[in-house]
Amino acid sequence: MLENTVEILLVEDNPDDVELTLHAFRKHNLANRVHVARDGAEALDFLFRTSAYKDRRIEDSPHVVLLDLKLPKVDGLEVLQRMKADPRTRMIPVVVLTTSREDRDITESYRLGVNSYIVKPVNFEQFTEAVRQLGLYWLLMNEPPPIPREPR
Amino acid sequence: MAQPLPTSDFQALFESEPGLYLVLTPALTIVAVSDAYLKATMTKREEILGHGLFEVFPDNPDDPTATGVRNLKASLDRVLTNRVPDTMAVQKYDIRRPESEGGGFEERYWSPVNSPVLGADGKVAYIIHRVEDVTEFVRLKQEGSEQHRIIERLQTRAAEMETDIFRKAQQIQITERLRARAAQMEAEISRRAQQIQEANNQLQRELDARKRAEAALQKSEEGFRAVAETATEAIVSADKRGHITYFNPGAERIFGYAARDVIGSPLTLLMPQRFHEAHRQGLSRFLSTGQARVIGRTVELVGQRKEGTEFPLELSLASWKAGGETYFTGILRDITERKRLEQEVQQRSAAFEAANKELEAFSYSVSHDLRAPLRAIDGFSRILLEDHIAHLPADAQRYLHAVRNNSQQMGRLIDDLLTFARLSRQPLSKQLVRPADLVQQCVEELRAEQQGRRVEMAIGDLPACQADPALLKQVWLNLISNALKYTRKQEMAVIAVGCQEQDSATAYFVRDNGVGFDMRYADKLFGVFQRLHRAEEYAGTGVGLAIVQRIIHRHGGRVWAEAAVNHGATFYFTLQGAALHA
Repeated sequence: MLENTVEILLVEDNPDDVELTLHAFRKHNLANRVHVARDGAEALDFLFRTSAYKDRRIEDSPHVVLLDLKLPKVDGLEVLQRMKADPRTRMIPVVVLTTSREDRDITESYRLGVNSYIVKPVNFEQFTEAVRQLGLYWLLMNEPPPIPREPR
Repeated sequence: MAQPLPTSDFQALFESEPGLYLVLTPALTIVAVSDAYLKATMTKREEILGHGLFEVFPDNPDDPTATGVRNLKASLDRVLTNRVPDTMAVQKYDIRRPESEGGGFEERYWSPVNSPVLGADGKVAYIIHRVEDVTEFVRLKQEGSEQHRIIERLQTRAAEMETDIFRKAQQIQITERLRARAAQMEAEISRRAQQIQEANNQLQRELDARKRAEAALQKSEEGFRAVAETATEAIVSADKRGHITYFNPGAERIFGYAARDVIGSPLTLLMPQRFHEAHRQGLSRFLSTGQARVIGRTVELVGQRKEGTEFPLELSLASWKAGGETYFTGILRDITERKRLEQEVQQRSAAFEAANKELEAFSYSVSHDLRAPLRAIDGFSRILLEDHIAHLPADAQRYLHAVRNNSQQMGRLIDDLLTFARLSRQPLSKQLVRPADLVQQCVEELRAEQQGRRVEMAIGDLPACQADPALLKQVWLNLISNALKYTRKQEMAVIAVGCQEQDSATAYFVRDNGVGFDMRYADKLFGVFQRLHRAEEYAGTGVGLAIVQRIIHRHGGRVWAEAAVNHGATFYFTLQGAALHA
């Protein structure tokens, strides 16, 4: 796993959503490059290479983070806030992928510097299409920032 | 030396003497007379010698004031008695004019001197009566004095006339002044009269007003008494010592005392012990400084009933003066119930607030948690249908489609419900909106619904209005999409969008020639989840019109519909003037 370059960090606690999302990625040959964090704390450990992820190579930083908002332990908005506040993670594009279409969530996400906000459709075709499009966009069309260096 | 004169010569001498002499006997008989005398008295010697003096010279009978005879006789008497000459004052003594000269008497003035001629025996032998005719002199003098008098009179007259003229002149001046003054006064008087008239009118009006006011006052007094007697509030009056002077039935009810038991008692009777001191201090402060904390305001205090229980009350207190004395009247309301209600309202609004928060949390969780399982249901059904279709019998496939349809419908319901809930919370941001633009956008967005159909869309003039543009667009979108939906079965859908004046408000409308609906169910149109058509005929969540109504109500407008089955429907809405129809 560590040998493969992680291109997508999927932060999602709902196993069904994880499976459906991965299914969608698989259909578009993107699944191998996805790492899943099942709550906000794990996402932060992964991003900042702490606890279980302390040995992760800096080069394996994701090209994009797909972030659910309603998460156990540390919620999505906090993950977003921590990422955008830290120079090491600030430049990583973050796409909120959530079921919430609450205005306050949308507003707060953009205030914290989210790069995109997508409401997961109930309809599976629409959902698959959304996943396909954002994978294509962020992984193929978008020019990612240079890989950050380890501060000495 | 010459020879002495003979006696006869003496007679001739005497008679020729130019002076006027008569010689009388003591019996006053004329015995000698000079020619001059005869001439002056127009008499002849032979007619008078030997005659009595007064026989010859009587008084003028035409002059009743004649004094000649009397004065002459008195003078002669004095000569006879005193035997000394007697000079008389100038005497008017008219003499008879001879018949040959016309008769009558002639006015004459004389200056007589009567002198006695004493005989050897020393007695008066004769009286010599000598006179001078001073008639001319007197006349002259008289004339002079007459002239003088005339002059004087003239002068006087002149002076009088002068005075008179002066007076008249003055009078004329005065008259002029008077006339001017009179005119002034007349104007003044007329003005005054007018003023008086006005004052009178005013007075009358005031009088009338006062009468009316008195009548009104009496009426209102009766009214006030009636109000005071029947008020549910306690009305209590007190004098400046704080002693009760009036206690209405309301007060009896509230405090439990009979009026006759508390009249004259201190107000402190009506309040708990712990407030007595503050009350007394407040009262004395008001009486000494006029400052009051409670007068003219409404304050909440604590009262005490006869049986000792305390209760919250609201007091409006006024002070007034009558006959130089200060009185207080308070209107007290037992606010136990209100306090309880207030508390209840407070609790309820707290509960409501909590419920609202809960609802928000709920809708958040609905938004989040309810949709996730639906997505899983739909997603896995889809995967089954896609990846495992070879293993599924036809029925199983059909059921899976049904599962998907239902989960998707539920997803739409949840979305609509969330939209509906959000509309109630979201603050309005009103601005000038051009509905024509919004309608155009909606028609564009609904292009897909018109694919493969014949739709005639007529959009009329739509005046600008004040509204929240996003919300108003939602209204148009829902109404136009409904119109498109319910005309689906028409060969040619005819949809008209426009506006008309409705009860002095602008009513916008969307009219279609679709299936319409039965007006008996019109009241159900705008309820959440209320549908007048079966789902298999016309898909929908039953939330669209509820959303429309919510938005319109939040704008202060109203929405209604007119329709007939199979004859189309018209939906109207206004954006204000809801109060007119409330």
